[in-house]
Amino acid sequence: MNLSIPISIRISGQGGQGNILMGIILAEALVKEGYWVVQTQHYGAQVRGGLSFCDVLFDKEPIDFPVAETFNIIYLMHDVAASHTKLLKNNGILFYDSEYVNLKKDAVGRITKKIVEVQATKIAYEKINNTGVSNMVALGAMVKTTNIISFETLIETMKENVKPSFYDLDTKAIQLGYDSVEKVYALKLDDKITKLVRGFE
Amino acid sequence: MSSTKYFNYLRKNTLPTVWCPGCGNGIITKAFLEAAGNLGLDKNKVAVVSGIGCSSRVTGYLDFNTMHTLHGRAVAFATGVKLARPDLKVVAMGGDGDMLAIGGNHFIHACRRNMDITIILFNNSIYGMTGGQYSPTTPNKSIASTAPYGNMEYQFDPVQLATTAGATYVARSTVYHFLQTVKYIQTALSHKGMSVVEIISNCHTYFGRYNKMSKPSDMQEFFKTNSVQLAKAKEMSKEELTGKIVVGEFVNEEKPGYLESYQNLQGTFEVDRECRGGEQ
Amino acid sequence: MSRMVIMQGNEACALAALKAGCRFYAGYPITPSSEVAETMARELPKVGGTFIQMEDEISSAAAIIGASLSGVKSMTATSGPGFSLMQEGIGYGVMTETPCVFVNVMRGGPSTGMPTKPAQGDIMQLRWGTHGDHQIIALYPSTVEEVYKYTIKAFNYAEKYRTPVFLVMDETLGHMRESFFLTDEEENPEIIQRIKDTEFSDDELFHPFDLGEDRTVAPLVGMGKTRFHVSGLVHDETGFPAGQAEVAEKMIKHLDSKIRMYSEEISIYEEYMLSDAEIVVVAFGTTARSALRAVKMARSDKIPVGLFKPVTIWPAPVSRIKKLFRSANAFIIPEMNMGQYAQELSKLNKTNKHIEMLNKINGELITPEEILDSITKVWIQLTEI
Repeated sequence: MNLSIPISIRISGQGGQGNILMGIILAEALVKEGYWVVQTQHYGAQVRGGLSFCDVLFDKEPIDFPVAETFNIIYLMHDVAASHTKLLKNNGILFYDSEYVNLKKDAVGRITKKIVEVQATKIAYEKINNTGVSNMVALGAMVKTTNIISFETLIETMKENVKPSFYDLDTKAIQLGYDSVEKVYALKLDDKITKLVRGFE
Repeated sequence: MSSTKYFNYLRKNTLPTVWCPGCGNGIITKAFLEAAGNLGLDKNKVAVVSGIGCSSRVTGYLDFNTMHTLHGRAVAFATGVKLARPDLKVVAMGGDGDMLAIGGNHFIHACRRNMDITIILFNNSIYGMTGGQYSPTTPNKSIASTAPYGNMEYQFDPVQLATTAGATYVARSTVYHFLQTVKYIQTALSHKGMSVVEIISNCHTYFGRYNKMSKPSDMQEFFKTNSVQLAKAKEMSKEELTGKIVVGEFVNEEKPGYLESYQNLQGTFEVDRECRGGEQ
Repeated sequence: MSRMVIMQGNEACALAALKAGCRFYAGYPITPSSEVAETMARELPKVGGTFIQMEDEISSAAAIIGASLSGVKSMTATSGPGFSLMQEGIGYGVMTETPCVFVNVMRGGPSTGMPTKPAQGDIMQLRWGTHGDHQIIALYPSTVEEVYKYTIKAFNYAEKYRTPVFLVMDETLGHMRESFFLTDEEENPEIIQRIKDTEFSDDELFHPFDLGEDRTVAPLVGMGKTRFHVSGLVHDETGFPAGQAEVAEKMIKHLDSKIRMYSEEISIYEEYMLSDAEIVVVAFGTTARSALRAVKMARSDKIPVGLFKPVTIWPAPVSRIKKLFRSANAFIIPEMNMGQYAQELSKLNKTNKHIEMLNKINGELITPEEILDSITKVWIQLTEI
């Protein structure tokens, strides 16, 4: 039996940084692009602060187990989630926000060489004067580097998830994030959906 | 008041709190600690009971005998503690949803009984911990996650509720009026009979964001601008008082409570020392 | 035209309820079910329904039963601590044969437990939470698509068998967002409605529990067309209290038999590779997803194992399980609790087959690897001479 393993993304940081919104937008965009998608999240009692993370899994077949133990892509938004670096798959892609994450590059370097520094908070602060949208800058950078969805789908999905008064701000933030990274580590993605139903008799 | 005095009443190893930066609950906690310090309370002789919610997390941080109980039932648990151990000072703390919605029944009955406990009501007009649903003190027409088109219900006035139900010390303050808050808590803790202190607090993360006051300073400004001292309010008309927060001591009287009456009853019996349970 | 959608478990539950005709929701915020209330608050006014947030769970249970008795399909959602509070109301719903849906999104327990972590600790409470003898129907989906499908089913069962029905989820399922194809059948499902068209005479009270000559379930009519009386006391077909021994016997046995006699028809289950299975994994909810994956992995290693997934955990699919106990040689029952369902199923194990329990109660999901380890271990034991 050929068991497909979904591609897994984890975005982790502190409560209030907006990682769950990032995950929701990515999940919805991936559905539009034609994948089976599962998104789960974890948070504690704190609305602001504390560990909070969001996982997005996508595959060309229906996904059985909705949680991953290791990830193809990890985005670290804050040092509180530093321990998640050891969950990266070999040669996976690790993004980190240099403002809040003190990355031990040697340790991570043993797992992968694809380490991308994203100055999401700095860009959000300096170019838009609003650190609240650093999660949008992060999204733009992630999508440029991994190429898992198109830029247009990303913007369209963002607009379905935020209030109209935020459209311009968020579009600008995503664009800035997109432009802030050069290297592309495109994931090898097979064709889209091949199986329409789950495997029950 | 020097900070070392009230640090003594904090469980420092449990900090930082789970509260959002700027949350008014921290201000109320500090006011309580200052009041406790001013009274020189013995840590082992105080029991603080809370329910469930953001405010109710306070018991984790206070260094007394603390009980983090069930949603809405802090007052009921506290009643049990006080009646079994009248020598302890018993305080029930909780939020507006906890104390007045699911806990409403216990709130009014404790007041009716003039039970010898102190209720500190952290009123931020929202259910914070569960994500911003409306509560019995959310103003009419405000937005909340379960009132996306505006709250169709009206608010309780906890001061009036406590007064009518029979509490013998009732006061209201806000997190902006820090010194008043300390004074009222101190008086409440020394009061014989039921004492209720309502403190208006800010949840800028949910209530504030839903209602265009997303920064803590916005909400503090709101409390400052819209508060009226009780003495002045007595001379204002009903229209002038709409939307205003009246702060002050509303009730302060002496009346025997359940405990005093019961102790008098116990006094009428010759109690055999050996069969009296519970050690003092 | 079926289309790919993505929904959150809680959201899917609320939207499916609306599809099934639910037009009243009364609830109280509790993690992890608050999103059901929030979705209902947003959507009910758009379809002419009404939403209210009550002061606690006890009043929420009462409000939805009141709404349902008056003639409107209703629902509430809660989690462990709230579900415990609702038990008295649920008993009243059972006694008055009121169709309504209670959603329980299970979280770590007991007591305040772990509000943001999954668990399956309420399995026995779903069956016996309220006092007295009663039957109950509880559906526990394992994917967001199933949440949608089975919420509609829950409403239909509630109407058909005139009983409160539980739609069970766990925190993971309630909070996750998952994509699925929304089929035509799901967009336009069959909905069971209440009687509307009969004319009633003005002089007589309607008898809400009148089975007539041959009915198993008495038809219920909304208030307005006629009028009736209900009570939680033991009653006869008129609805008025009647405590005589014969009445009590008839009434309580009716409450029991109206579901027990139809348990075959009511029970829903899914099977995967059971035809030649020597080992059967019995799992439900989110655990069934891990089990499915584990079974697929074990099959790649040629282990003859299959999955039995009860969707109606109550009434349990007893006759199918009894057959499995005869045909298979060993059972593995993974649960995020201390073995509640396993204990019940073991009563059906008349031939003393091996039952391996896999219990996890730390707030984390049971992984496919953990179940695979169990399968491998049991297979080795079975094939030892």
